[in-house]
Amino acid sequence: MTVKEFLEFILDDMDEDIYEMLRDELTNGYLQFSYVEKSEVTKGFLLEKLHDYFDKVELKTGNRIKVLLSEYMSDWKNLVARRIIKEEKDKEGNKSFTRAKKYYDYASEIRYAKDITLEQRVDFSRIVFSLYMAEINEKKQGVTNFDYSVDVINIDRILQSLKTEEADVKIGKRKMFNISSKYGTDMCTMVLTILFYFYIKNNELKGEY
Amino acid sequence: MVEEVVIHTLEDLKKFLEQNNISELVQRDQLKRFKKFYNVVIEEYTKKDPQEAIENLGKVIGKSLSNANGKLDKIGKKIGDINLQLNEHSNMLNKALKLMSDNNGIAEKSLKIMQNVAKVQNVCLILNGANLCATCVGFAVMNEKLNKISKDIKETVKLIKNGNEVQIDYEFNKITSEHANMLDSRKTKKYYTEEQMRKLVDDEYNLLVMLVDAYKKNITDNTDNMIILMYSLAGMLSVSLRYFDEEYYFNNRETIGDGEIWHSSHDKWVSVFDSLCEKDIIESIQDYATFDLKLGTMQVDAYYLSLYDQAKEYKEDIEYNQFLIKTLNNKESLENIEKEIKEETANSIKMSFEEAGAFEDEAVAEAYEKAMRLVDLT
Repeated sequence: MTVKEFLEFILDDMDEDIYEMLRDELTNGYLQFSYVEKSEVTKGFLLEKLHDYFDKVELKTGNRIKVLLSEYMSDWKNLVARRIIKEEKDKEGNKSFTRAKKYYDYASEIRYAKDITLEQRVDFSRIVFSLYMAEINEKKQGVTNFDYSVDVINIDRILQSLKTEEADVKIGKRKMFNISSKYGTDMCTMVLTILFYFYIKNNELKGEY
Repeated sequence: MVEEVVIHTLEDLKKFLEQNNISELVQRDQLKRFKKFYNVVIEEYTKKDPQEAIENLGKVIGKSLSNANGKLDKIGKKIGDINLQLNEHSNMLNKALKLMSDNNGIAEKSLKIMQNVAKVQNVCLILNGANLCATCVGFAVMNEKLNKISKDIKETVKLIKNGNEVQIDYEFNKITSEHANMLDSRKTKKYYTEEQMRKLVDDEYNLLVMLVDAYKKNITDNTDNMIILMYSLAGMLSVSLRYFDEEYYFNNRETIGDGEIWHSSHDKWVSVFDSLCEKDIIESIQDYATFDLKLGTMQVDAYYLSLYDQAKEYKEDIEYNQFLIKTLNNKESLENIEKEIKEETANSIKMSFEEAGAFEDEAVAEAYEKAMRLVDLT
């Protein structure tokens, strides 16, 4: 898979209003346009800019887009894993896996499967985002359950929270996502998070009630 | 059953092409009605001129369908209690199309080729089945499908009869045959009395509550059947309750005067539809779709949202009907309105077919007549 194919997958069928939200989010600290106003950035411009961005990341990190996507999935999996409560007891004292754990395992399976499609990556993203939202709402305590629907996921809260996450290191403190390096993998993960989120949002199915 | 197919190259598509190298694609709208048909022509394989073939197909199918659906939508917005009839008629269209395509030699397979996932058809079964509860013929069709799984139904019901719980004697089959009898009596104009209707409503309600309870407690492994059962029964209850409301209102309106005009158990009966939309049931359905049916996240959304919407619709149908009854305040007017809706819909469908030139083909005309008779629209 090439960067071009990936970007086409994300952006090709995007509705105008979703596109504008994506553009606003990306220009808020992740991509810089030196000559044009934010509002003048059309889809074409954004595609070119994103393509250049990923080219730079590939050069800097030495990893092609496929590996960057795997890193993205790894980061998310590790992030979410820490606060999933594995088991719960019901009234009769029987132990069973929590709903959160079941879905986390499902996402893990996708992460480790070989040759996954972009749609599977989207499924993975949807699940980890939902789980993470539950974790944010529980103020970083463990979660046993979560809300499956798309409208619960709030990209601003997620990004805000990602920036404050601390890494599990034995000595001292360190942030989990190092965003000072503009073309590093951590920043790349955040950009990918934004892209996947708006893809999901664009394809959101709404019921009638 | 529908096969799930993954296409990587044009070669893979080749086996699905029909005569004139055309393959049909169908797009459904949110209510699962056919929204648009596409005729897909693979260019490198066409030898003859596909224009003509496409035009003919397009005329008959595409135009008549979008016209009919458009008109159905307009009528639907005019008066309140339409949902049931609308769905019924689009099912009629589906049937008519199937009959037409059978006669034209276009394999049914090609209509469903690009359909989402095999198991999502279950939703269609539920929705189609559920909406057929209102006419005799429709119900017979659904009953047949239910009979096929009746053995499992008996098993399911047996499991629920727990020694600790109150013995509930009504089996599903008893209720379905009673419901069928009720519909039949409407057809022959020997209507059920108010008391008979109340009993039917009560029985259906109790059984549905029991099923929902059993589903929540995960008593049976056969989730597929449970879901079909619950929603079929919910559909039946919605229909019965509407008919009961009519009987009750017109019989007792004068006696009650200014008091509560509906039966005192009405709120209790309607609350079961809310219970179908509760968080734990919805989560359970999401889990079933993800882990058992192995659907992707977007298909899971389609699945659980369809079921959720269906339950809400049932409740809304009842409320619209109550509003209609109160507003019209007259049994004859109500019957006339229903008759008018039927006629108008039948006419608009007929007009659309005529416009599309469908009746020039004898086979199509015959299939159309057959389908209209099947759903009681002549």
